[in-house]
Amino acid sequence: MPGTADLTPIAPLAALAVGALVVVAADLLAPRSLARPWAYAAALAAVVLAGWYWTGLWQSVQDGPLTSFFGAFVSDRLSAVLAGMMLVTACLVVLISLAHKERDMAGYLSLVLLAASGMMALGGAGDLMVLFTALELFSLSLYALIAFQREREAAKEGAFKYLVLGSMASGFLLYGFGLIYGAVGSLSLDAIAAYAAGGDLSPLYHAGFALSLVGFAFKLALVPFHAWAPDAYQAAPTPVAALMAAGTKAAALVALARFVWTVVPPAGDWAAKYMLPLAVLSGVSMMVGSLATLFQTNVKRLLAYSSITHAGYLVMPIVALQPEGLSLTLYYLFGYMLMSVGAFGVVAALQRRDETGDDLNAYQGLYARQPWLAVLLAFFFLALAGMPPTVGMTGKLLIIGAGLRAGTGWLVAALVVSTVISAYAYLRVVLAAFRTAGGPVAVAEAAAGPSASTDSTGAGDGEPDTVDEAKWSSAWADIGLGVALVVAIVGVVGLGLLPEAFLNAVEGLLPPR
Amino acid sequence: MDYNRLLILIPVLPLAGAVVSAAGTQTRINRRFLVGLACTAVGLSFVAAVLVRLQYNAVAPEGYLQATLWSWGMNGIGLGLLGDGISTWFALVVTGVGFLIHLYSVGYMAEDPGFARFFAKLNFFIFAMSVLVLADGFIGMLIGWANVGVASYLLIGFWHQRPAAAAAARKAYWVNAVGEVGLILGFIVLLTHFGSVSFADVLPQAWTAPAGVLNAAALLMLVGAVAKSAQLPLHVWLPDAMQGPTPVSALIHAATMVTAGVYLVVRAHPIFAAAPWGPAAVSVVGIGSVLFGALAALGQTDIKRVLAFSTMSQVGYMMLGAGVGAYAAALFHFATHAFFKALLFLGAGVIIHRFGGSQDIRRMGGLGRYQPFTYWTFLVATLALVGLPPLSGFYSKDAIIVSALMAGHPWLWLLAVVGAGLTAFYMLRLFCLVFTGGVSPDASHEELGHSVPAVKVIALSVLAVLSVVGGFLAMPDLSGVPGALPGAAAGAHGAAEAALGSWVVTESQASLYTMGLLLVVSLVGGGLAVWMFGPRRQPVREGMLSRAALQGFYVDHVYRAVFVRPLAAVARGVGDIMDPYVIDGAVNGVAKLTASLAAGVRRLHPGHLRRYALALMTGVVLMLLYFVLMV
Repeated sequence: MPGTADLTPIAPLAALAVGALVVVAADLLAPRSLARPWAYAAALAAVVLAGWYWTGLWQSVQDGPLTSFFGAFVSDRLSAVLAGMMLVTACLVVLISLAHKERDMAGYLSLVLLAASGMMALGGAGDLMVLFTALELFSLSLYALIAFQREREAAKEGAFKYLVLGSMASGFLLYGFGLIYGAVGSLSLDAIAAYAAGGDLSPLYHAGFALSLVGFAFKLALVPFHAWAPDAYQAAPTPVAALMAAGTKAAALVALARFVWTVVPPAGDWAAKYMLPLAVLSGVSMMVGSLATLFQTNVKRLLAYSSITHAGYLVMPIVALQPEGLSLTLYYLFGYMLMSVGAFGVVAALQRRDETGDDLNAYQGLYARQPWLAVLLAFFFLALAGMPPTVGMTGKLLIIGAGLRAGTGWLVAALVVSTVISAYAYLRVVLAAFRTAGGPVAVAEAAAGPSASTDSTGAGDGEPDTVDEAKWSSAWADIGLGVALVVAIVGVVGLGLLPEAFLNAVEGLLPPR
Repeated sequence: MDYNRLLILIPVLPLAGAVVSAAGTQTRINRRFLVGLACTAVGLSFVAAVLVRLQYNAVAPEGYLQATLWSWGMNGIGLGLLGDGISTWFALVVTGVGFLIHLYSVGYMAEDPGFARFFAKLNFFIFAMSVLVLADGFIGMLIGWANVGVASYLLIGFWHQRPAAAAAARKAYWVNAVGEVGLILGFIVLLTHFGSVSFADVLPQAWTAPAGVLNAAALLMLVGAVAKSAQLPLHVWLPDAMQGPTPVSALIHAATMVTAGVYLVVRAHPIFAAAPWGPAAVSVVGIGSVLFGALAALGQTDIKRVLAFSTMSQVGYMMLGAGVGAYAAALFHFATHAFFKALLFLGAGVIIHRFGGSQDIRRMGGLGRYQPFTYWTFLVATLALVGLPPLSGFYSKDAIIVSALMAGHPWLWLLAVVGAGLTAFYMLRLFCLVFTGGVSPDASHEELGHSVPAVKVIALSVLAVLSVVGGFLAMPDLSGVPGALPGAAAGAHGAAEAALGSWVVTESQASLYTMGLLLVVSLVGGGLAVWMFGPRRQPVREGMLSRAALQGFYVDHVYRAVFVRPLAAVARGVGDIMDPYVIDGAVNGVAKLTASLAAGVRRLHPGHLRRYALALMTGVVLMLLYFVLMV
């Protein structure tokens, strides 16, 4: 029977899940005028409570991993690191959401919390069934969140595309897990590791790994399993897009790392053979992602392609299956989470002021109208491009160094080329913001694709203001955005200047193979 | 190896001052408040330097202080600060003299519209210079090195409306760029051989490297040192740099920045001493600059250019000291020179103001009667530079020259003594022309009699006292420095007795000969100058030699003919032909290729769900095929 000892490892994510229920309950019980403030307060309280549980958990996992529910959930340093990064992200996303207008705010916030708790659970899955369930928990929450603004055609379209493709990917993942179960006879990761070490591998096992890889690559948005990302990011409310870019990526990367560490057979040259497709996907994602960034006219689509490019960068150090590579991935991952949440946060701030929305053409001369936001926009895009002393530069540098040591020169070359190409795209956004109004944007053609042309100018459009919330929301929205952006800036610069502080904390999360 | 947070304050305070006062110039904040802030920042930085020095004394000579700023997570590449016998010594002089010159500038620049901007740049210089001297590795040193170059550029061109100032700033930048290339190449040689750029890793094992590596590293670094320290043959930017405001000339182009080359040689002395060609190259550069600078100073007519060539000559003495192994003596002369040369420049600033902005010493004269304070402080500085005992210049210069003899270089010794005679001559010529004789007809009596502002008086007095008593400071102790050679710790005089041909000199004999000869030569040179240019001066005919000296012996002309014009022609050729057709063609070609690739990629994403699903399925099939067939 599960006891209270089983609850300690899952306390942070349980706090978020319970928080999601409390948010909905508060909406039902609270007086109408206070519903929104209470929803926000409950959501933030849930994140803070989860953070409190997390600090205790972080202390106890330093001595060794904890397992609960008969090994179905593992809480080790790796899952605790993911949980910590997810809590920061969830906190920032809730803060940015203060600037987001939504009729059913409680539903929105509870879905955000559920998605975050699913992402955290993914990092600690001890068997394939829990892994799949956690994946579906956050995927379903995200489908609903993308379609949340039912009035917008684009939202429905983006959510539908994501749902169809996501269901396909989930199907393949489940099929892959089934094949692995067929070969091994167990869903537990420990049993699978024992089978892989045994050496006598059935063809079912290979095919199962192939299909599982498809499922992970889909969630990571690695080319060619990436096509959902631009439409979904553009359709989603901006804070949700931030959650998708940062959270989905983090959870899927950690789960992928644990999965390949377990499943890839340790003997012989299996590791090289098993990881080659992932290396190819990483290189192709860098190139395709950065090339596609060039012609985007919508900032959220541009950030979606940037997230595809970054998926390539982040997978690259894992390919060698070394603990040092995993540390680097987590380091740059946390940096990327902060950079992308910051960038989406600035876009959300612009949308809130009905200033520009997410159409790049409207960013002309932004500096003259909104100097502070223009500077913040420039900061986050330059950080993504790799400006020192931010984590954008340090992270890429460290990954390049690791790639050279691992002997994957061709991936390093792809990374460098793709960095140069996407730097051009990021600089275009910065230039547009700082050029005086009236000059032409250096965009070759007007439309980036059919869906871009059908899209309205931004998420802020077409939302009726039902409640007289303008007054309180504007002050709180500014505070929330301000705090979130300052935290992101401090993190981006701090990580860039002091990489060793973080790298020491995430050293040796998985054993060397 | 003690960790020390105070070290960080030394560069950070002036940096903060620079940022705040630079940002403040864009606002309506009171200018005097900003200037006060800038001065306070440097003053506190000096206090930090003093405290650091005291803490260093507590751990010396075995240990030194360290502070890590950050590391990049890679071996040997990072930024940290190091407080040892060399760097704390430099930091003290840089921040101390820097603070006095800040004070002086409050009076000097008060009327200038760019008052606050000037202090922001001056603060930035102090930051860069303290990074240069406090860095714990070659990378940090390079960062400081490049930034003092930027600060020097900004301050030489401070009056950027003047074409001459802008041209001088450009010239200084280019010459130093040549030096920086040498420096970087030298560091790369060290990095590739030792695998690290930290002093603590490289210097103690310098002697293990093969001779070729050491020679290459030493000579390449020497190029950087020669350019920064305005030594022969890369000195041409220094006289022109006098276009900057006079406090800048005092701080950057006399007291501190131009000695960065000396700092480099002393800091990296394990390399320079171990390289077969190192000591000879440094000594030749040093003695060449001593004589060249002194000769060129003889013929100058601009007060600041006299002092500029004198700086070149005196830094030459420091280089000579570093070349013959008298590292402590070189540092000693650096400190005393900083005192009296800063005093001379600051005095020159007062003089120039009194003569209505004119810098031509032929049109000056008789200032002594109007300005007794300036007269006495300038006299103290002049005599300290000449090396009259017991003023500070005597001890430090004497220590270097004795070391040359003790190291077994009688010719270097003799030439250095001759240089001292020339020094006495040109300095007293300058002094007599300005302060004695009749008052020039151009000058207005009212202006001559203007009193000197209090802030200037304070700065001048402190420097004058230091010029007098600086010689009694203890010789810097270098024994705890990373990789220090045993001889370096002993300071000026090698312990051994030197054999010169058939006779042997002991240290006391060498000191005796040098001291006596120096005194005689200086008195003769000085007396000659007083006789020729003193109160009863005779009109001097301008000969070919003095014209050549005035032009700096035509080095500039040669450079213009040999380097500048052909390079400009090549550059124009590149600009007109190479760039548009070859480079641009290649760049545009790559850009076009990228654009067409990107257009192709875009065509893959038309937004149709079926096509997305097809792409996904293709991926799945390929993945399955790979794993089922290949694995």
